[in-house]
Amino acid sequence: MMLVDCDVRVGSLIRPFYANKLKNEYKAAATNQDVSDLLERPTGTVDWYSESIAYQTEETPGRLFTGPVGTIIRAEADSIVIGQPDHEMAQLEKAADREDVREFVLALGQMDWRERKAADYIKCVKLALSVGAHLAARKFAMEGNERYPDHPALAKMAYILAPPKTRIITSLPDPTLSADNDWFSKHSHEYRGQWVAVINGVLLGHSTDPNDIKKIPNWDKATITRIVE
Amino acid sequence: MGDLIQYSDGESFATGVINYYIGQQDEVDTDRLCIKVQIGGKHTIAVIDTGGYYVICDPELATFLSPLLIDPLGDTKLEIRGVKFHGKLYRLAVILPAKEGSSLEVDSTVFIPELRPEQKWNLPSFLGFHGFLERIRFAVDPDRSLFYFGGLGES
Repeated sequence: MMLVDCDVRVGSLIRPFYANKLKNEYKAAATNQDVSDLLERPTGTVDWYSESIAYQTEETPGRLFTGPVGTIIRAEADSIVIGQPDHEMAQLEKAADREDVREFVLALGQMDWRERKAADYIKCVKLALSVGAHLAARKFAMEGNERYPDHPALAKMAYILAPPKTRIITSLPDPTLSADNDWFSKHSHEYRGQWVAVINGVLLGHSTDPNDIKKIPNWDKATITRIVE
Repeated sequence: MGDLIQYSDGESFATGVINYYIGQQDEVDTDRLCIKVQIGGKHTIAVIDTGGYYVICDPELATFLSPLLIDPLGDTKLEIRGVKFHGKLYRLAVILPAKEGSSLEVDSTVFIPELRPEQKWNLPSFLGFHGFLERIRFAVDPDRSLFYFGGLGES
C-alpha cells in the first residue's frame, strides 16, 4: 500500500488529497464506499459529504478518473508535509494492517522523528497498541509527551503507559494472608470454573456467576477470583 | 518498616513477603506461581508472569472495579497464551500485600480484555513484567513458598 496524490470532489469543489493504493487498485475507487484511507492535508479532522471522487494514478498522470461515493466520508487527517506523501507513516500503517509487529518495529526504527508533530506521535502510539508493539507504544508516548508536554492526548498516553511507580505502605502486615493462601492451595481445584470468595481461610461462597458473589455478606472484604477450568 | 532481605552494603532488597501457592491456572500440567494481590482495591489472585505485559485483569473481575475504570487507552491488542485479545489499558493501583514487612503499592498499567462474542476467558489474572514487575525487586523461596518483594529505588 502506498500513498499517491488524488483529488476528491466535494460538491463543485475538487480538493487535493492522498489516497492509499491497495493491491494495484485504489480502495476508494474500488469499493466506491470506503474512503477512510483518504488523508487530508493539512492537520485536522474533517467530515465530508461527497457524491463523487476523482483521482489520478501514478501510472496515468494527468488522467482523472471519477466514481460515485454516495456516503459520508470522515477523514482523520494527519500531519502530512504538504505536497509530499508520508511514506514513512504509510509503511507503519502497512505493517499495522498486516498485524506484523516485527515489520512495524523495523519501520518505526527507520523513521525520522525530528520534524514530527504531536499528531504523528499519537498516531504512532495508537498503531503500536493496535498491532501489539507495546514497548514501542510506551517509548513514543513518553517521547511525544516530553516533546509536546501541553498536548493532553500525549499526556494521557504517557501517564497510562509509564513505567510502574512503587510506594511502600506503612500499614501493619496482614497475618491472615497465609490462611487465604492455604485455602487456595488446598481447595481451589475443587471449584474449577467457578467464582469463589474467601476470607481468612474460609470460603464465603461460590458461583459460576460473578454477580452472585456480590450478594454474599462481606464479599467486598474477601479475596475474589475465578478458578480456571 | 523492616528490610527482610538486604544487600551486603545494607541497601534494602525486599521490604515485604507473602505466601504463594502453585496452581495449574491456565494450562494442563503447567504449574503457575499464584499470589494474592489487590487490583483497584479488590483482593484477588494473580499469576506471576515474567514473560508477559502489564497487569492483566480477568474481564469479569473488572465488573467489580467499574467505578475506577475511567478514561482508558482503547483499541489495544495483546496476545495472551497464543490468543489475541483486544481491550483497553488503564492506570490502576495494584497492591502486593505483606504478611511480614510492608505492603507495596504499584501504580501499574492494567489491561482489561473486551471479549468478542466468539471468545471466552478461561485464564487467570496476570502480573506481567512490562508495566508491573519491571520496577520491583522480587525473589522466591520455593522451600517455604514465599514471594519476597521490594520497590526499586525505595529506601
